[in-house]
Amino acid sequence: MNTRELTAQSMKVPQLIPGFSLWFRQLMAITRIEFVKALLSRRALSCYGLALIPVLLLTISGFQKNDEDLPVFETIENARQIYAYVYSTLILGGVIFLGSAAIFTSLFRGEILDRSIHYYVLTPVRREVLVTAKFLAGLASAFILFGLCAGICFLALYIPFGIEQIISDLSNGIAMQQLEQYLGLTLLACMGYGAVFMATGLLFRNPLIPVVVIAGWELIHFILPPALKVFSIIYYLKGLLPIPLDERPLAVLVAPPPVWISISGMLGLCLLALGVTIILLKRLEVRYTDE
Amino acid sequence: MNQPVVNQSEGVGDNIVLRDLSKFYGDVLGVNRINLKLEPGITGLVGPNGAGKSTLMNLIAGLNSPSRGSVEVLGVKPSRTEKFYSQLGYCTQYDSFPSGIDGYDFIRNTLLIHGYDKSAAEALTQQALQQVDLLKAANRPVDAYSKGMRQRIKLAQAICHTPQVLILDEPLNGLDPMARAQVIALFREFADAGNIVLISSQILHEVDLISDRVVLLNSGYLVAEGDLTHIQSETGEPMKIFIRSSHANDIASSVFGLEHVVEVQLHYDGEGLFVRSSDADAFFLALNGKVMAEGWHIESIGPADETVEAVYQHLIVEQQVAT
Amino acid sequence: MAIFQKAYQGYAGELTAPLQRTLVIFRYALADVFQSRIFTAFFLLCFLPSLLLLCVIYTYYNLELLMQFEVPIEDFIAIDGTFFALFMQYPQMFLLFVMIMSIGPTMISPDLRNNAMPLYLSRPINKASYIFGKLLVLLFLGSLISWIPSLILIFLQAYLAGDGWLINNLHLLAATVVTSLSWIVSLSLLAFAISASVKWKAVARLFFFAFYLFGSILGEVIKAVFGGWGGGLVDISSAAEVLVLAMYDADASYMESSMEMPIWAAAFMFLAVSVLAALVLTRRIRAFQVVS
Repeated sequence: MNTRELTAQSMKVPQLIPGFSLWFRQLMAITRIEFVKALLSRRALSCYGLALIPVLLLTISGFQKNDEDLPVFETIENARQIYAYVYSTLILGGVIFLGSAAIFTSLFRGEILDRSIHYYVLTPVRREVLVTAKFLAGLASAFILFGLCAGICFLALYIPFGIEQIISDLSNGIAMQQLEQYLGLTLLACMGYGAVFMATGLLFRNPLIPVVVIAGWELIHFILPPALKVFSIIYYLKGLLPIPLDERPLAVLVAPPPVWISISGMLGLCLLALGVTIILLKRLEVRYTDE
Repeated sequence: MNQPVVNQSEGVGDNIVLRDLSKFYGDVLGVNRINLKLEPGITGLVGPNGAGKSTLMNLIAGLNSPSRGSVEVLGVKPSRTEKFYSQLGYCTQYDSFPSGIDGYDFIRNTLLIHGYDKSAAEALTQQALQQVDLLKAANRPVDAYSKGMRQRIKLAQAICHTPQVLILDEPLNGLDPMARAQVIALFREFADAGNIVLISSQILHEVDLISDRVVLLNSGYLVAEGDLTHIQSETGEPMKIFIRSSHANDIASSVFGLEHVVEVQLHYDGEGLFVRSSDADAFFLALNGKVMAEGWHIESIGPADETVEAVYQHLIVEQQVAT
Repeated sequence: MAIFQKAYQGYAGELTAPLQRTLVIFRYALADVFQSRIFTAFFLLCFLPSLLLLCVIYTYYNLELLMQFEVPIEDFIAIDGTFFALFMQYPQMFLLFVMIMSIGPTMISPDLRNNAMPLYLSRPINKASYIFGKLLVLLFLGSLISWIPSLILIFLQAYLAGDGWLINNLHLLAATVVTSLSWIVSLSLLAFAISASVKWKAVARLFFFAFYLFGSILGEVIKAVFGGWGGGLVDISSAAEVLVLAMYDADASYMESSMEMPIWAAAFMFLAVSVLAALVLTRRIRAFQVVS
């Protein structure tokens, strides 16, 4: 290799002028890279496993008979009721919660553990752009994975009732409306949990602590007094369920918040968490000690 | 000698300027009150393990924020990320990479994140890979690279956006002699184009070869800074001069009587001698007179200890032994 | 001869007993665990429930003291299997879970990440002794905060109650030892298996917690959808509850037992988790480094 030759051959480097067009290019590039990492790498396998479990459960129950040799889903209304329970307990409380924890925590903490966060820190990218891009990538992958899970589970309800029932429900709007609501709820849940876990991923060296604390808080939210319920994400999300569920014994009953409050609350939380993440990233000291 | 205090406006735009820079990790001192101006050219950063070399480089590159003081690179502070990092390339000590990535994507992704469009990113990737001679291995996963290849891909990542400032933390580690020579030539080209290169290394012989000037750190403190002749002259140590001549014996007996000559050593082949003098200028003047008078033939003459190793030996090793 | 041949000469002496070698791993792993001040504080706190229970049992049999505080003795429940299951075994199982979650997943992954396995296994230590050495740490610490204080409490109760109480409640001795050890061994092996499969210990802890949380949610949902006790097969906490109820011969009305699972199924669940985890461990722990 002759360096003089190389210098002579060196291409003219295009000038990068800061502004919206540069930020947009950077945003798209980071989002693409992070999306591939979050959804198409080995790291995502555990999330695929999580999302598969409710699908398998509802598919099996579609073919299953109960003790009286009747289908588990006796009627389509009963099936929807079961789905509402499975969605709120397993998909929302288990799959989306843990899946978002895995995807969004690893956006920053994963790179700190991998000792590769400095490659991002050393790039001429506004920290606001970096955080937004990573969040969008996480959100896209979480929504694709868990939205698909919720959607396929919803379709699995119709296994005992045949294709005619699906067509009829889709055409008269009941199924489509409910499916849209569940998907919207999934998106909001991924946003809310995702933004919080992304911030805690930078804030805590041990990601277990925020996950356990938030899981505990969300699990006991039903017995919390109304003044404290407003600080739990699940309170806003449960208010948006198409089919309201019976509260557990000992629950402190309060009216669910109006839809607009639920949605704007989630968006507000998301913006707040993103703001905190940006501040934390700006103050980040790259010093890889042992875990 | 006290460290020079760098003025607010003094040559800030073309240099790296550190003002009263300190970093503490709790009770542990990283670096303390460093005032330094690094000009275009190659500067070697030398010091024993734990001297604060990597801390200083991390502070300059904005990976760590100072506990006190400030850093400016070509007049820009690290908080202005867009401008700051577009002109800086940093090859860190960390031997880690995003998992599962191949060499080509590693460089291309960096350039895409910088904001280059796809075609420019690809062209610059090719160029950077060619500069470090890794084109053939570009599509292999970095995890499967040898140590030397990983070092080279890190270098490619640091230079791919053609920065004006290159900070290199032990960049020659793990490279074979051929690759070392290529990489050193690359740094020289880069510095000759008016850019700043800061290189830390433990291999003093190589720092000697590469650097235009050196910065010596010890225990977080700046020990010396400047070109070697300048540092050597300020150490106060008698200067060691090597003279090659067929009249080595005569010269030795003649100069031994000079007041400022403290040691004379004949070379084993009898064709040269080492002289230690506490006043080099007076020695050269006196030697000149004697050579003219006696008609001795002098083949070569020059300082024998104007090396980083000698300076390091005197300013760091001997000081440590003394304390 | 003045100059001796300087060549490598292997150790030709006698080796220590295999158990003694395993104890080297145990000793170092134990010292490592107590490097964390938070864990040390937590471990000391784990003795608190047993101490409180000791005070309760003492007070229960000290009528004069109770009368001083005008506490009607008939309001107390009897100190029997149900009492020990409720106030001793359950809190201990919770503390064991937290203890194993904090140290179990961190015990194997650093050795794997730093490629230390070839170094371990090139010594006269095999996979089994390596795993057993690590497991001993959790068994030792877990025993100290579970069945050992429990036995002391049961013996204290027997001494204070007199009248052949111990003969009538002899099953409690087996109950506390068997349930505690099953819980410690199965959770520890599970934690080790996760630790051996995940690169970072922080992530391994997260996976362990996720496994537990998701298992209990899934178990509840399976029960709600299909009915029966099948959900208990994915929920290790339900299986533990069933085992405790059966072994302590406790009154189920005091417990929130959600699964009517047969005891053989609960025992099978513990066995299956332990065997599967051991299989993963033997696959992941190997004397060579895999470069991908």
